[in-house]
Amino acid sequence: MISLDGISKVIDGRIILSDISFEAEKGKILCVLGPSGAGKTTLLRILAFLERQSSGQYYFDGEAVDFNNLDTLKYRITMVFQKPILFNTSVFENVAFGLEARGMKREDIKRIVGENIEMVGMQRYETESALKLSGGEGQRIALARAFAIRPDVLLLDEPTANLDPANVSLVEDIIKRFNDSGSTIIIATHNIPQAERLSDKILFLLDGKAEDFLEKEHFFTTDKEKTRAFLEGRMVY
Amino acid sequence: MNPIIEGLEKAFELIISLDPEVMSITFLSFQISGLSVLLGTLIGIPLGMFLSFRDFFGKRLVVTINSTFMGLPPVVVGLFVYLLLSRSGPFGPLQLLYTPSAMIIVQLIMAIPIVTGITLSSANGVEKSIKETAISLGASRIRLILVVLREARFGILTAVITSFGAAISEVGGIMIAGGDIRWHTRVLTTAVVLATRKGEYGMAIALGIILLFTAFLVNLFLNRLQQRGVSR
Repeated sequence: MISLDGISKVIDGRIILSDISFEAEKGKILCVLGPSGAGKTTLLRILAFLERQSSGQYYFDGEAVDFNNLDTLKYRITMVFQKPILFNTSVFENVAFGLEARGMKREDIKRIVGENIEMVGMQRYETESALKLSGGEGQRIALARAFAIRPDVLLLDEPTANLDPANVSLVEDIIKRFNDSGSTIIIATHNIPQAERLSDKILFLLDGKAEDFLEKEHFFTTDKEKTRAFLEGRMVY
Repeated sequence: MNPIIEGLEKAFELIISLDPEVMSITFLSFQISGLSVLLGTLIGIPLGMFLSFRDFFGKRLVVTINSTFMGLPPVVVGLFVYLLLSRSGPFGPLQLLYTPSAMIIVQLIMAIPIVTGITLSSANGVEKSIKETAISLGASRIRLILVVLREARFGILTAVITSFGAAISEVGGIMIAGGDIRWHTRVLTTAVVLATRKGEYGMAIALGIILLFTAFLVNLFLNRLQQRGVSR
């Protein structure tokens, strides 16, 4: 589905990502795991076409991504940010945004928005102002908005970092249900138990480098010193 | 009797009796300021958005010039328009001097930089993450601009109201370009100046009360807007 070949990113002479290569398979959940400052968000931003890599190649469905011509690709991938970013309008209009951008008919938009708001359990709030929602509610609406456009690839940047345990479990459940519908999901997280609960595969990032890229079962039993140190909480960062 | 008390009595009499001259002056003031702000909005908002979205050589200079023009002395604008529209000026043949159109031009020149500048700063104030979310959801360039306009709407409305407040209370520029001709180009501010000079305090106070009330309404509206913006 998505593959990176030797991607690096340098900002103001500082190396943020160095020679990252991996492949995200269709319909699977890939967790990009690593401590704060490892480069996870930058990696997701490149995957979402929000930033260009300094070097290396990004492939989507086997085709090299041309950042100057994203006409069709931009509809196939979307990103949900760590802090829920909602437009200053109603919950309904927020969820409808991506569908309107695709020129969908109003009656189809109404139906799809309704389904997705229900999926995240927020049907009571449809006409409310989105900015009045709590952090957990806002994140659920941000997810509903992303799900509504049925992206081939969904990028989630620390989707539960600011949420209480009840909302964490709710959001994780929503992510799994969305994955069941066949979408590829890439989650950036520093939360080891979350990566264990959600992922099929794990890419372990440290100081901008890919230290490990393994199936979940193998990742948690690896002998690699840096990975073990991170998993066992011996890594100071 | 104290001229202030006498003036106030006369003023209320003029307002309550809907004195034709007071009404004509008030109507013309709102017509001229309203039209100039409307045109200023139609030009200033796209200009502000263009400056916010486009990077080009000399952009900083353009923004600095616009900021300078936001504080243009009205009499200088009046003089400039007068010279352009006077019989020997380049637009003399249009015969616009001492007409409401000349006054609209003066106020328009003052409104455009205000609307442009406040629109620019409001659009720049929209969080980068809002724009990125819109892009990530597949927004086209036009849709992205509409998103920013919507997010910055309270600031942009403030720009419109501020420029209306500046226009309706302006005196020097429109006096030079409009000539303060009775029943033709006399507006609230120029009429207050004339009435005071002639010692017609009742008329001056009546027009002053209307101006003050307008300023009060403008500020009331601005405050409500700001409160809505804060409680977002």
